[in-house]
Amino acid sequence: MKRLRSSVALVSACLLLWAAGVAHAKELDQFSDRQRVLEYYAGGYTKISGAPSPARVDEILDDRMNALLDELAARLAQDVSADEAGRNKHVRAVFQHPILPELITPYEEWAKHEAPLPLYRVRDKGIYGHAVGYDDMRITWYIELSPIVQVSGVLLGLDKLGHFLAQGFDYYLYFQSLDSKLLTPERAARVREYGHDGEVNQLGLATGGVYSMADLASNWAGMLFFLSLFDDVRVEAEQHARYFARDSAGVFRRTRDFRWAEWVTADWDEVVNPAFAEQRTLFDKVVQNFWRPAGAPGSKSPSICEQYRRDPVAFMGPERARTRSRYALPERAQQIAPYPIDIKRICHAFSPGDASSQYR
Amino acid sequence: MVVGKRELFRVGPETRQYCAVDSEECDSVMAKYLSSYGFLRGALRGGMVLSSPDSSPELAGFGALHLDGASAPMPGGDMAAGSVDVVVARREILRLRVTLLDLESLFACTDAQSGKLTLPFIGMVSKKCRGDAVLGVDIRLLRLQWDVTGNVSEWLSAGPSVELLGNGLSTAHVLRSLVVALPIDVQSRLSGSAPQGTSLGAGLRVSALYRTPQWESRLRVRHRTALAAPVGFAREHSIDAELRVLHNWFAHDSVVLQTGLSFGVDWASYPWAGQSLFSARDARVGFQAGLYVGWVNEAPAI
Repeated sequence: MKRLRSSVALVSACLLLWAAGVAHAKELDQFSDRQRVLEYYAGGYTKISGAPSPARVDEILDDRMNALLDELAARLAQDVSADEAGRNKHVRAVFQHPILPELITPYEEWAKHEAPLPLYRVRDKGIYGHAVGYDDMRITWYIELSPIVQVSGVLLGLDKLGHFLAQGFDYYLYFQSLDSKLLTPERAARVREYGHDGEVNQLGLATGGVYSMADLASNWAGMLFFLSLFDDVRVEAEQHARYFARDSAGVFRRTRDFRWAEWVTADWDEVVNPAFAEQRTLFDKVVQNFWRPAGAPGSKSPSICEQYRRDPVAFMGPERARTRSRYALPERAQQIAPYPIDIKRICHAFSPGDASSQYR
Repeated sequence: MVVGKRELFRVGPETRQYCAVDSEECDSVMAKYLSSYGFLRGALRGGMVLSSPDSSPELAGFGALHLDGASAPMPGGDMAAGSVDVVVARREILRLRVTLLDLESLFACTDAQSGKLTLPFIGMVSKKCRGDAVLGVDIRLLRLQWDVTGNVSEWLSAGPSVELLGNGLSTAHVLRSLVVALPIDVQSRLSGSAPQGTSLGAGLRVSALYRTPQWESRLRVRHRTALAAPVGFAREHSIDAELRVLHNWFAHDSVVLQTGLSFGVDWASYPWAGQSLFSARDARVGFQAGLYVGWVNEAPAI
């Protein structure tokens, strides 16, 4: 019996490791079918009975976050004497996965499986499909792409909400662990290094061959969110008021609502804020897919580049503000992953059949 | 675009009919199906077994089912958990085998970024591994077998494996492979008429795969010698070999069928010592030939 138990434990460990691997290996394609998704949010939803509007999507997502903040308030009310470490424990319990906190985010899972949100799923791996294979993307090749949703007027991969809460909390803990004598800009600089190392060695390049600037933008915003739970925060150009303040009895009370609009910026959109491919072979195949007719094999539907070149402004979507703070080290990223998956450059630098031979 | 299970709109038709349009695409999609993870994949087999009890060969029909609870024949190794095999023959064989975990050629990963060696599996899911791995491990945990000769439990089988083509952890490995493995195992025969007790065995596994990917052929040869066993030192031997020639084709957008022929032969120094699923209870030599129909369903979305 003991032997059987050990065997079951070993199998469970393997499955957990498996889940760990696949959970953080998710990739995203916001280029394929982008115009159709934009059309939906621009009013197309009114033609579909019962389809959620953009405002409703934001409301659903905000309400859930506020419910989680209320849960945190209830926990803190039961533990009035909690110090910073104690508060972090409660924050972790509310927002993080108990076993794999950096890899699976309960809020993202809820948004994906339970919330009545319109999620767009690119079929057949989109720009990472066709000739792209395991040798180009490693384990990520076997994993479905993250679905797409519009939050606060920005199209983004659902994984960004997970990054905000999971990697954001990780950033926050790292920020807190730094020498308190360091000035905020110095601590911020170290967090940027930390995020870069993570994207190179654990998350982006290590498992998928793609360095995502948008992931880093959402990680950074998540850090600011956790920093602003109990204190007003000012990091470089960004400023946020606290969510909780003690009342006269010393109990933390929520002082304001959460709104994704405060945190989401155009930097979370991978069309606006391109990711970088490490390998030329992967990049060449992605470029081919940008020029491949959309839809089924043999289809005459316009390719991504044809759609983009027809009306670049419409393809990019409504203009939204970019993040004001520096959340990444783009020069360092480009040294390691020198091929930006940038629609403007790809669709103007190439014509069909050229592959990437003209790319400089 | 979906809300829960409700589809709001879809762009374009379903697109897995690649094989009718583009053979390169078809190969890519097929290779992905065949090398991805999945649940409840398996195979049915039916044919004839010829066994040789004493000196008079006997022919019998058989049917066999193989089912994997979860399986992943990936570039980083061939993995299966919760496998069940059932073999029923007109006479001689009625066998049920359950395997908790079976990992073959799980390759150690050389991290392309740091050059460091990483553990099998963990490297595959967390590192950018170089696609030229050679050294791997075979690990099989808890295989229980019931048949008319009694119960046999293999507690553990483990040993090194070597990919002679040097293509572990790359797509090439799921298309061409030549592996030699040297597993050591611990088995216990707990009941039945054969000598009971625990044996320590050592063996050799040679596996070859050639896949186009529309067609595939697999050859597998296994040998085992019980080094320490109730019957004495190195007196219990068995060898079995199987060849499969299969055609892979899309039966449905999300199911690849593998149909073809399988041939096998097994020999053991004692009638009860055979390791093959098809070993007859009172024969030292057996042959089997039959039709093979396997199914590979699409990997579930993660």
